[in-house]
Amino acid sequence: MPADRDAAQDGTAECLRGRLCRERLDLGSKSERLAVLLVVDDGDRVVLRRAGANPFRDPELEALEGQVLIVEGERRSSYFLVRRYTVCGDEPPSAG
Amino acid sequence: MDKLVIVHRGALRAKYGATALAKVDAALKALATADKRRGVDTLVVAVDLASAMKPYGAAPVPARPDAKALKTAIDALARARQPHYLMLLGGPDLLPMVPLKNPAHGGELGDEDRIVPSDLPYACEAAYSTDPNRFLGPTRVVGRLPDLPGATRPDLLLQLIRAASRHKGLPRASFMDSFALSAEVWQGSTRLSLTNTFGHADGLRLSPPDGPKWNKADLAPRMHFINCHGAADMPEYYGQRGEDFPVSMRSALLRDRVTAGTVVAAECCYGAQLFDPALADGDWPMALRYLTDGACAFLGSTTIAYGPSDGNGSADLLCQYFLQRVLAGASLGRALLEARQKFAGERTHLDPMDLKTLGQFYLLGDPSLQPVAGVSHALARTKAFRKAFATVEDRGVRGLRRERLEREGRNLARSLPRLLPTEAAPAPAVLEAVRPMLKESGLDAEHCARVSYRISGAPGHRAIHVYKGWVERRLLALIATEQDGRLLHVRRMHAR
Repeated sequence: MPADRDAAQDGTAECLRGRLCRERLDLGSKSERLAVLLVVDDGDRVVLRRAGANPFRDPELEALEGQVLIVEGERRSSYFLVRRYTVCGDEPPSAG
Repeated sequence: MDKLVIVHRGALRAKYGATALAKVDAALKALATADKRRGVDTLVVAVDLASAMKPYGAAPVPARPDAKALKTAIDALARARQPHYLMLLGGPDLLPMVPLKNPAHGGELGDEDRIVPSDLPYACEAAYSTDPNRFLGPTRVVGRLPDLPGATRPDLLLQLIRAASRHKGLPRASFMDSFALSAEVWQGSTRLSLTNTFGHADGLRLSPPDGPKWNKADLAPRMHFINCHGAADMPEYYGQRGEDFPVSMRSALLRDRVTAGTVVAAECCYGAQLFDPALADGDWPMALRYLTDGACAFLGSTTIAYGPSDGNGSADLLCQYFLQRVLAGASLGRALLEARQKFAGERTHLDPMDLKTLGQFYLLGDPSLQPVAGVSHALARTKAFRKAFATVEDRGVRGLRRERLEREGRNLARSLPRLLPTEAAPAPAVLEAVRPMLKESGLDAEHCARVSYRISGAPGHRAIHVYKGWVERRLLALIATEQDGRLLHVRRMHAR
């Protein structure tokens, strides 16, 4: 099943399901970093930022690299603000 | 007219109500009186009123302001009144910024910003466009006195207008001390910027280990130079050592600690982004906290910025040029105009990152304020001199300066080559020269990604080819400049 998007509009509550990965983003800029992303079923890659966490380094999410997650929060201009998340293990996203 | 204050009364009324609008009017009237005492004639123009715009042959900006209509209105006003200063009143929800296309965007190949909200087009004579290549030659002195996004009371806006009215220049010596903060990983670059600006880099603070709690003595200097990380919608800046990114500065911790009249230049990504505090659990954007706590100017970026860890480039240069012009006695707006012109003018062409830099940095503050008070020459202090120039005060000399800046800007607009995306492959000789460099870097020319640009307006045929690819889970870029079929220049950017 593709990512479950309760709402498509920027800033409204939304739910995504996908596999967590880490990639270096914004190469050569002052924002270059190893970011946490969610790769959803349709191939879309969404930068995750956990509410209240450091946007450049979040050990809590980083520890879940490779796991399938359901994240709830808000899609903003350049990232998805994660309010809550559930770990579904390392099953493939389509199995859920 | 010396100074035009651009106001959208309908947007102000819709956001704050009619009573608040009357307070803003009163504050602006007081500002015009204060400006008059400083030798600046100020006119407030309601760009959404047909009656106000009719004399300039321009249509009023619609009730729901858009950047294109605003740019058209400002162009008409600038042509008719040739103001020495243009001040935009309010944040982007009152007077929108121009959404320039990000020349450094490219999904996985570039940065994440699709657009670059920019005030640069308002400083240029070229007609409205979202193509950053159209705005290479700024000629106008522009600044923005912001309000708080999402606010229902105009308290911040009123405070900033009143602070601008009270502002008084100080001797240059008052600005020779600086509070300088750098991510540890960028200290080489920051030391160079500080040395270029203040003659030394003494007292540079590094994060880690320093911050985010700064006391009043730490922040007391009137010049602040910050080279840290920033992120969208975040009220914090961040340092860096390796993969550690500690908070180096937090907006809430600035309260009651900033000296009145402080001038800030922040290189950080999103360093001057104006966001609704509701997006950050009620915490204000750094720039607005600085201004409400007494700073008279904040130069920063709306989006992801660029600069090397060692040496200077892009954001480093624009920020240091701005501070250097402030120290030389320029008004805030002129300091930015001169910084932009110097930045653009010392390059043969702007690469995608430099083009973005030019558009993304903007001034928050009244552009007519002059932090470093001018020292008049001996003749100017004589009775005869004062009598001769009693009615024009500084206006005539300022007009001469504007004449020079307009000429410089027009020259840049006319002569700087444009960056145009192209599908054309590198010339065989270039590919032959680059291929072994790519191989040595762990990349394969046939399989790594490439984005190419033609430099339109450069002598002969010049192109830039940006190769990017993954090497051991790290992105690597090789940027090759081609001239008439030969490799002219190459640089490699490593993932840090």
